[in-house]
Amino acid sequence: MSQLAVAEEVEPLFRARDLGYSYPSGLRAVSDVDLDIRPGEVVSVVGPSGCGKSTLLSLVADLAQPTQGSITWNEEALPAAGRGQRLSMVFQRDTVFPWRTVSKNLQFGMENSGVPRTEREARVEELLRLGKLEGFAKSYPGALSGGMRRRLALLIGLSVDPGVLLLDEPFSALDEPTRIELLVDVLRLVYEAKVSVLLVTHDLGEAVSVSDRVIVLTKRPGTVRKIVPIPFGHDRDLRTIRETPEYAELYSELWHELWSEIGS
Amino acid sequence: MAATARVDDVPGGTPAGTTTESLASLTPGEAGAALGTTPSEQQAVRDIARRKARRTVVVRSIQIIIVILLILGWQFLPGVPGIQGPFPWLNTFFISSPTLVAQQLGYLATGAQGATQIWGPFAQTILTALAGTLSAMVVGTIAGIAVSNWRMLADVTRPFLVVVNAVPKVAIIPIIILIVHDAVAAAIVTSFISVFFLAFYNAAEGASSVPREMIQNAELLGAGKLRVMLRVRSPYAIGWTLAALPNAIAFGLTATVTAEIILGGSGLGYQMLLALNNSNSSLLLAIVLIVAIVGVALVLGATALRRVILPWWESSQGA
Repeated sequence: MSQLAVAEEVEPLFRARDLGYSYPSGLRAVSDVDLDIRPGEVVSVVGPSGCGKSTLLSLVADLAQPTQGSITWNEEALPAAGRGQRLSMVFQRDTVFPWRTVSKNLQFGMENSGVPRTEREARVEELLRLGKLEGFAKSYPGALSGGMRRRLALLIGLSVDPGVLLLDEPFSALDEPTRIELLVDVLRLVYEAKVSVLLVTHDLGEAVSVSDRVIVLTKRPGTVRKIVPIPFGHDRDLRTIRETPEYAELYSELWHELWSEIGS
Repeated sequence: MAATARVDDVPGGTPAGTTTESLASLTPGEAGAALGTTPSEQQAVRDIARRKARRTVVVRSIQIIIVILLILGWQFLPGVPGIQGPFPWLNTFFISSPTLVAQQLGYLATGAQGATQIWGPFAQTILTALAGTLSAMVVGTIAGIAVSNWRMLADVTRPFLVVVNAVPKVAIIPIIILIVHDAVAAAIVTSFISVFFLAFYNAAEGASSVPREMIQNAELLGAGKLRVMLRVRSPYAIGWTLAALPNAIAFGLTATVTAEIILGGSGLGYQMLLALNNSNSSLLLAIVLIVAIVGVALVLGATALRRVILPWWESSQGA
């Protein structure tokens, strides 16, 4: 059971060193964070509310510039397919374009990088099959259920062959059964695409279920309190691991870390 | 890959027939059938449908009865002896009567009894309202998107727009006629100005209310500044503007008819002015009825047009 999905010697996709961010007001949101993600690795970030989890994602996504430290990308470790990007992101909020059909939504990123139409359409078909959305290519997102829209957002993220997929609490608005179903799909999708994932979540169960490592942040300004390896490997079964003693142990370890942080 | 097979084993991952997802793909009827599997449940579903249908019949019947009562009252109340004591306006001279109005409508349609045939002014008013409204929609939308994209432009123009928007459009009709010298052109300009601000504010509001995350996501997916404006902000803004199309066309028609009444010379508004000058209430009411029908037809047309141009809008509003 105890195995690492990605060997520690593998060169990381990016290295963040001493990463920090302060708002113009001087309020420090994130401070001195070191973070590496290796190809194919799933890493979760948990922490007390307001600890800068989402800010950390923004820094990695280059949506905000770090006021301290830096991120170094290892371009050679990125997908070699040529059209691949460093990263894409699934936001907490719905970012699917309501005026584009499902197929056109999936093509947006590829249009931007000039992928020819026939190639785009072939890729869309593949993505729809992966995401179990066949038959919805011509539907508008408004006609999809909440869970399907989230899956579409995820497929859009995968459509550009990212090195890292950033997930900012992407399933927090969904009910439990839909969330579990989606998590199963997400894992299948990211394992198949061999994409790395950086997941921000407040759900410790979600973090243990899907991750290879869980990073626990401290209260604001968020910095790494502890890194907990999750040794379930990539042939884990989401249904059964929740019933194993190892899962319970890891969950309570994270629970303990988080609550001693909140209580401190 | 073993991992894939194992992950797929989870019950939620299999295409079970009762997940929310698969229900969403069914039509409401099918979903109802899938939910109501036992005979008693199906009976309950049928009962709800029957109760709804019965309610609709009751509502429609009451509406029809109200219309009949209004028409009967309009026709016969002025004939009730002594009623003009407390209600002097219940007089055929002021409010005419359904039969007289119907007669006038007949004259207007055929040009009999020396009446002006109404089709010319009818078409004139519709075309004027459409020309003013549609051109204002296009220009207003473009201006709104432009302003929301350039902060500088928005800051510079804001006070002027507030002032111009606050001026009652009807008040500037005389100035417009001085400038353009032509009644039809002046009516078009009036409806243009009335609708322009509606379109402009909707577009500006729409373009600047695109969720920040949607734009960030587009950028992460490789879209540059121009692409974000053309493919993200613009569709969003156009959605907002076209959503207001039925309102805009109603504004445009009001402005057009008002301009015609003030300026004279063309359209249904001018016919109303003539009827008023002759104190012909039957003719006046007949034309008002025509204007009302034009208004309803234009709003319904605009709603249908919106459905064609924006197939995604209604469904995204329902979500």
